[in-house]
Amino acid sequence: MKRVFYLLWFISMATFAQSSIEGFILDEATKEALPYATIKIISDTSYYTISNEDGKFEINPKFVKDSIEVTYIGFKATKVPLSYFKENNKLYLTPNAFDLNEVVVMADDDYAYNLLENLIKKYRKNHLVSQSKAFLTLTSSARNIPIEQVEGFYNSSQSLSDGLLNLKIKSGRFGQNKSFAFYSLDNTKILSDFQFFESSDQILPEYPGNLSGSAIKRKYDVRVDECSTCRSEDIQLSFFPKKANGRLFSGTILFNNDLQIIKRIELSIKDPVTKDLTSISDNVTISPNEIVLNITFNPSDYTKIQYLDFTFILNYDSTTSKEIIKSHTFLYFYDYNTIFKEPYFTHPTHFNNDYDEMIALQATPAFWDANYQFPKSYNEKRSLDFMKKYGYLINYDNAISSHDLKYTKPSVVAWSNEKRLEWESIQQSLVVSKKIKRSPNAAIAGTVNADEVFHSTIDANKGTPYSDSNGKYIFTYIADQYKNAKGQNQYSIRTLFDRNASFYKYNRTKNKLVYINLMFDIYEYHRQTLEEKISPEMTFETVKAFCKEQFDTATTVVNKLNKETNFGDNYQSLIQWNNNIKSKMDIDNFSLIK
Amino acid sequence: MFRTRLPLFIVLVFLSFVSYAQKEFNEAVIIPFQKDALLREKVFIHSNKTSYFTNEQIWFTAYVVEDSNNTPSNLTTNLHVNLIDATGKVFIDKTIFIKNGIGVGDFFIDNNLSAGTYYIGAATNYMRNFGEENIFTTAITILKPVNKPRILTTANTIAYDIQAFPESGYLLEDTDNVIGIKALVNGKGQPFTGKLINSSGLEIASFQGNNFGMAKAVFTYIKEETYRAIIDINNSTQEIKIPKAKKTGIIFSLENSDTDKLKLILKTNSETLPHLKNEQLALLVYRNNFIGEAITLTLSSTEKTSQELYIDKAKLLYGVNTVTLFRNLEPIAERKFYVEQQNQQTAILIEETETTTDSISFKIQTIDPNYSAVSAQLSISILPADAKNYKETQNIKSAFLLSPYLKGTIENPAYYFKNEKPKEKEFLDLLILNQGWSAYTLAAKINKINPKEQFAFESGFTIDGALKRYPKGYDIGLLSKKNELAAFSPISKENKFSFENIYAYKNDSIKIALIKKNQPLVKPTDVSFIEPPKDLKHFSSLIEQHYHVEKTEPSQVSKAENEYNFYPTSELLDEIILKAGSAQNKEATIYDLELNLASKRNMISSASYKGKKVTKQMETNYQTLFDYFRSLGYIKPSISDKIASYYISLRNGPATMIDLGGNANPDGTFPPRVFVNNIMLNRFNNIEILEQLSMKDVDEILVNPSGAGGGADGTGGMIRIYLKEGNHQYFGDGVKKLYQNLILNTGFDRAKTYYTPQYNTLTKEAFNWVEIDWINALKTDKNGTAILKVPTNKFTANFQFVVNGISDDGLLFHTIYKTGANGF
Repeated sequence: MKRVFYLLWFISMATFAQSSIEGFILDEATKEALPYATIKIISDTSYYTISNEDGKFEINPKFVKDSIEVTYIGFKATKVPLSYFKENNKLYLTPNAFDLNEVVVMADDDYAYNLLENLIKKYRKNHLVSQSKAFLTLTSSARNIPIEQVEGFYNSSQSLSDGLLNLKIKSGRFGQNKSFAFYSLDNTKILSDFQFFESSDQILPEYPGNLSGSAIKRKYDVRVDECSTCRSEDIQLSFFPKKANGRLFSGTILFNNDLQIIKRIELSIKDPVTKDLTSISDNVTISPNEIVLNITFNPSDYTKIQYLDFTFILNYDSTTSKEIIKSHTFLYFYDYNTIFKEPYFTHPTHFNNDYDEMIALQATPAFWDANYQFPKSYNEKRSLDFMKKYGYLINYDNAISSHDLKYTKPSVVAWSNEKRLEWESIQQSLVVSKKIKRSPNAAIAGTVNADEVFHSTIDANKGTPYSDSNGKYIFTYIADQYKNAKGQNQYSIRTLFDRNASFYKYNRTKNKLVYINLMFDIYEYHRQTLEEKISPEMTFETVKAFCKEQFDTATTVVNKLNKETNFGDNYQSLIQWNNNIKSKMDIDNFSLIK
Repeated sequence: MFRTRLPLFIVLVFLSFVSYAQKEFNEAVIIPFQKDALLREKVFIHSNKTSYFTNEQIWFTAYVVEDSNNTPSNLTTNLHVNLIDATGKVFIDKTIFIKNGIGVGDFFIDNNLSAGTYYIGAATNYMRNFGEENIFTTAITILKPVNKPRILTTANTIAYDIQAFPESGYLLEDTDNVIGIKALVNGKGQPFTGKLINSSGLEIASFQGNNFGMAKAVFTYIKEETYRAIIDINNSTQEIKIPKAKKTGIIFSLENSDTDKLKLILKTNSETLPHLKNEQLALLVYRNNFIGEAITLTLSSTEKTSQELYIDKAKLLYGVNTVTLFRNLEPIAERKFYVEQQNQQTAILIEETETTTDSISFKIQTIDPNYSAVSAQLSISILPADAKNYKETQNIKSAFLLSPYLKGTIENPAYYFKNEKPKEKEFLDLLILNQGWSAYTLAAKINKINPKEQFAFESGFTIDGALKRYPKGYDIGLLSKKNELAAFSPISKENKFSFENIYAYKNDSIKIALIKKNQPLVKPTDVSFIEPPKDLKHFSSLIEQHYHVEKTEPSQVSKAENEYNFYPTSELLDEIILKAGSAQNKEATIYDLELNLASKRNMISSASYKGKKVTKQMETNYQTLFDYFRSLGYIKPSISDKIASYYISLRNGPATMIDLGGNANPDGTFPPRVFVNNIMLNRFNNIEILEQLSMKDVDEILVNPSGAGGGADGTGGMIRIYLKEGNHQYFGDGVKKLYQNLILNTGFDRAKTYYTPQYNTLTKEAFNWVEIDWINALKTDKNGTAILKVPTNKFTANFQFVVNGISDDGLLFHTIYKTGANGF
């Protein structure tokens, strides 16, 4: 079965690479690239994409007979058949040219304030939640040297009043510079925390959308901008804090005044003051230097966010080095009202951050091919090439090299043939800390069966089965569903050791470590057996049920191991079990563990 | 090492700093503890079952090891093994030959023995120097089929035995005390709940007894207060007084949960502190004559009343150790504790390798603490997986690590070595705590640890005898099979003689001759031997000490019979017959197998006679012709590996001729005809004669494997042996025997060769009462492996292997392995 999958990937990649349609969107006047231009494919099915930061786009060849309409604020919407790109690879957009509006000069001083206040009031009332998939790219660099690269697919829910409500990662991959470990994925938390039109005690500074009308008047100067490329119904307002205190953005809002619809918000601030923003690493202080946040709404439906473009420049200060780090996050929302299947955990699993989840949630390469929304930019490619040479890449070849894992300390450890669990991976005691709890039934709530799964697993873990008085060892299966480019189901099931929920207190002996690895191996052995039973024709619900059943079977075996080896204390029995695993999996833990 | 936490005492390692106090302690305690210490050994008997029917055989392997490091004893040869009843009466007394720490033996359970609990006791004579806890005992049950169930009589009275044991010997006022509580009902532990109350009836502490009736409580003993323990047990409430605490003194308690370090907390009260100035305190951590740690203590503060010390367990012995606190050179507090050593852990890996229609092969591998293979000597009892005739209460670990070091009853010593439950080690500590301790004087203590020799070390046997008359000037000699002088004794004026250190089995034939320098041997006449008086030690006090035997309780016996009533009935038992041919002509033991003979070198062509002149080199390499032929592959061991029987054959394949006379060898070949100086030997004595023929006496050997010229009887070939001139007086017809062949009445009891009782018709339930095989001595090779074949049966494919064993380095092996129950 596995072999067939690989074959399929191979074919799909090959066809994609050969004939995908690609091109660049450029400004006719300046010949400069137009990043993030919206490209709508005029076809039976509504489909659209955007250009990347270099203005480059890529379209599935199945649309070759269709046309695209490219829109970009301030430019004329342009329609071309896709066949155009057989001959050309550049499409130039012409900037709008409108006469300046006659109503430029306001009789009323409060005109701009009132415009803004009304707009905000309207949006503040709009609590409608929309769901979509989201694609994130993040690159960070210091002195123009790449230090971090992240790509991730998320399920997102957002409302106009609150902004991002929830970002749950489906699958991701990341690279790190080996000589400079920097983790800035908390940017997704910062963005989720940012309120579009509600007041809040947020991490980022505020802008008029977060303030009451009187506060805006008190804190901000607001004016209507001259805008030669704006349509007649559009108005662009600029706002500047009266007193720069680091907690107020300046920026612009572009909106359709007739329909009271916002098209774009642009915010920026120098020397901002952020709240509760700390580094994952304890001995590093970070202080923000400059923040730019652009919120662009979807031109075909302005009630939906199209993307957030977030640039964060900060001073990084550790005991060993001082750097200025520029981190650029681009979060693109697409496929409104559809979301990825949530992964299923047989045991509730806690993750410290999105990096952890990425390590746990490994998608197949076919998933990446099928879901890529726009081509990698030059910057991303450069960053990736750099990581290949001077860093490490997690998930890029769809198998985390255990060698690379030593650079990061994930909250889960995936079973690996080549690396045994080590004492460094097992904490001395349970640390109570802020954790994102990922409920195993979050996605499957409502189905009675799934609910039972949740409770029975908890029940199974009550008391002693997994633990002696000095320790606790939590393992879980994660089952995830992906679709490849052809829309076929692919299932991935993996065995994880939950470092966050596990600990062992005393006498870290070899016997004990062998015992913990034997448990891990038993779960993995059963997972491998399960994998042979899973086929793409099955529904995810069936796979989950199989998963649960197999996990319970493995747990029964682990309980037997616990009893017979007295939680790893009984050398005689441990050797017998070691031999058991050796004959089944060809892994001799007693020899491998020093 | 240890470290200090609070500045109460300045703690000094004894040897690192020689102060006056240390010197004094050294001379008064340490030297007397160790000086001229006697050899201490301990015994374990692995019996193939724990329940037997009458008319069955108890098969056992005996292990004798040195006390301190469990290495097989290479000194002891004589081990007394007894079958004792509940009153301590000895029914069977056997002396087992121990070689390199191991010996094998068996008891036949006579039909006259009544059903009930019996004990196997084992000790060397020398062990009696060290008190009775050193003697090994284990309980077995003898079952007798009865046709009518007897009415179960219950004991009329219920006897409660509840005792309190202060941790280090006594309680101390105004400090935290640990006290062990033990509660027995009719001599058996039972779970209970209890509490400590003070004189006003206020509850001070509560505790809960485990299944063995053991608990402990921690409480602060208030000055002038008195305490009682109230215990709810067996649906009744019992009460005992807690011993009165001393007003002043030093006590200590132990925390033994860490694998590397033992934590010792010295405790005293403020009343005592002023007295401690200028006093000498010392702690000794030891087992018998082995001292792991000696610490002298000096008071350096008059405020703190407790002090923690940490003792490195790596310095201590595997098993039970003792810590004694000395004050002014007198022992004032003591506590035993158990030390687990990771570097002593072992495993026996058992894998099924091959299944044929009539047997299943298993690979057995013995593994050392570092996951490396190690050679070990094992004894294995193979029983049905759900055997009802085996309930382990002793194994090699409990017998060597625990039992010899505790006085009194241990209800189920093996329980503490199962390593199945996290609580086991805690319970073991409770067991040891509840042994109690009472004060000794230093002199008594030294006498106990390092006693003077009272009982002699036995080595072989002494054979005393007398002669009626003998030629003047002659002494008497005992000749071995090889006609070498094995023992020698002058003859006294009373015509008596005494052979000492004879290593021979009972009923062995020996040869006795009168000898004189440069004179031919003279055959003695009218020799009589004096039977030594049987020194049957009455074991009653020992049994009483080891087991709480209710001698008058009739229920014990009837219970055993009743239990058995539903299992193989007496008719069934009648059907148990001995396997045909199990009675071997030659009763060999493993020691015969130990003749490690050289590899096969086929120097003989398959043509006709090939001559070989015996050279000096051959004389050195091979003692006897037997050895020489064995090296050539002419003498082959019989197929069964457990029985060292041999046959002689010049061929590798079976003869094509049909054997009419029934003389064929086990492999289908025929034995060759053997001639010594042209005199044909009786075919059946071939091997025995060859064993007796020294290579030194042999001049020339001619071998004709084809048998050509030998006639029909020459099928097996011919061997012609020519002796050196003048050296063939013992052989051949017509040569007068110059010695007298006698049968020994004194000697080691030779083990029978194991036979599996042949059970005829059996139900599946009754099957669980059978035994499948008994391997009394299996040595794993340098790769730690040995192969074992187990015959299949119609009831189950699953067995249990009860394995005990030992390596040369003193690693102890034990497991109860059940086939089919492993893995997933």
